[in-house]
Amino acid sequence: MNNNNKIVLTVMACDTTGIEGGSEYSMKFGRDICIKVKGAFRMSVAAALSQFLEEYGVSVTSIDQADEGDCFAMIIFGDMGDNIVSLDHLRTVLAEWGKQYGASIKIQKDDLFRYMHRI
Amino acid sequence: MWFTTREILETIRMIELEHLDIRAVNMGINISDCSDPDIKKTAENVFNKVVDCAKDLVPVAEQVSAEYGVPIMNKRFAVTPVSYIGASSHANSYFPIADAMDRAAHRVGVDYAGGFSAFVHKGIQQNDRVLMDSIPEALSRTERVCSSVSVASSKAGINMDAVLYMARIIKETAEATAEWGGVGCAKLVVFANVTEDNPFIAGALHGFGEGDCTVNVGISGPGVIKGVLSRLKDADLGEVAEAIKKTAFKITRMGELVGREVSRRLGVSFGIVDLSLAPTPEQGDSVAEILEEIGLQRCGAPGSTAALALLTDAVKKGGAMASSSVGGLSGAFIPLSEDMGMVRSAEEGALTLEKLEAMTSVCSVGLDMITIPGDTPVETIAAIIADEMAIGVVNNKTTGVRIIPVPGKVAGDRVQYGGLLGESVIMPVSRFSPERFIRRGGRIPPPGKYLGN
Repeated sequence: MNNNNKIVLTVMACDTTGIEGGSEYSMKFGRDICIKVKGAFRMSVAAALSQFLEEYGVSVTSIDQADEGDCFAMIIFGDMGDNIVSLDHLRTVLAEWGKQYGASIKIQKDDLFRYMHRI
Repeated sequence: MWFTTREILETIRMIELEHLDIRAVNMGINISDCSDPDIKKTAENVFNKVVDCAKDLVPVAEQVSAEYGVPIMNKRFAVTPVSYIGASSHANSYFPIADAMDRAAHRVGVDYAGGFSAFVHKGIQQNDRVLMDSIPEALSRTERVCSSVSVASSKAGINMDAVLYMARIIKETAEATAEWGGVGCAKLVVFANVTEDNPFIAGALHGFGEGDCTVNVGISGPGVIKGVLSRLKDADLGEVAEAIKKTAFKITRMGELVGREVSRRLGVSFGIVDLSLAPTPEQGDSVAEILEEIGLQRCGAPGSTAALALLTDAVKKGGAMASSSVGGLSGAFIPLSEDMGMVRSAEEGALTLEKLEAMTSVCSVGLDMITIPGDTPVETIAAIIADEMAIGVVNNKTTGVRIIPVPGKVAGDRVQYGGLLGESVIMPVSRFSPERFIRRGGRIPPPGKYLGN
């Protein structure tokens, strides 16, 4: 896997005030998302997917890829901003879109990764 | 930098290949305001209260699960111990309350409902006796209700009358569900030092010190730990512990994130993350296989208790670093039937009941999902419970016994339950009788070191 330092972050939307004290805190989950494209990699996927996401109001902030054994994983950071498209709907249309490239697309809120891997 | 590509892929691998998931999101609900002199009215109050509190639990949990891409295996609720809720009715059975809990569980779509429970570690009140007598019917005539009874504590000692009483109830429950391999006993656990915020079934309940409504989360992740260790073939045990600790941190953080988000969306308080490594019957999602990955030929071999102590300690340290809301049982589960590695070890003769008992002294939560011959005497079952309670009482830790005397089965037979309960092999039980010891009754006093006030 590729572990370089070029990873670009999405714009975080969490208000973590109070985390250190362990008390109740509110999370202002915004619309930051992290999209992963797995499967046989095609050069055209990045450009096509970026364009597709733009149509749904998702601005791509960063793209990265990693060699995952016999296939590539491409990781796209996007910002949904004030988009009115729901994550559920985006997941559905991305699943359909991915079929044409033989790719499975997983879409997750990015704070999962921040929570798991950072104190 | 918030996180790297490698960390994202590590997370995906954990979830998709190593069975990382949230084992349970459990809503604790205070039903102490549901009591009524009429047991039928009490039952309806319980139904209405639970449905009102938990109506959005399943859709919200599924929504959060989808948004983070983290599976949530079970959604559950647990209520205030029912023996206290039924007391004012003077009814001779609390089955109507169990039935109401079951109907509510179906209505809101949860997998299990906990809290058909009583605390009898020092003495048995009339309402506790009614509850215990209601258990066989409650567990055989409902689908999702679970029951637990506290028979010992480090402050009170071991109520041996309650131990024997519950051994009888276990036998009756097994007989009442004989057609399904005594599966009613899979929904019944006997505790020492019961925890009041445990999200795991069958012991989940909503304790007296809790708020009105709370969400507690139980994590899973044996497969992830095993995966990490499989990449550390030549590491020494210090490095092994370190790797487990780091992984437990990540798992716990995921659990806390999901639990807090579910709580926030439901508008209820977040309770705890239970750090317990909870295996499933899935291939590779096994605590036994973690011990084997550490270096034992088979789980149950000499060294198993030491290896399990290392594992449990490292999980706790990683989890404690990850969250300040750790609670419940928090250790490592070593059930027989839910862990295919355990079943294989038992079948091959590597793992005996006595070795399992020894291992429970260094982990949560005791003898769990142990299948024994159906003709095992009540006194022997009581003595097995008493031994496990003694481990909990003396070591000031929670221990439980979830044991199934499978009707019609003898040592070496197999029994199939399906789902998370998996399948199991019948373990042999000592042929030497503890009858005279058990029949003495009374209470084993608490250890002197607890006279500390």
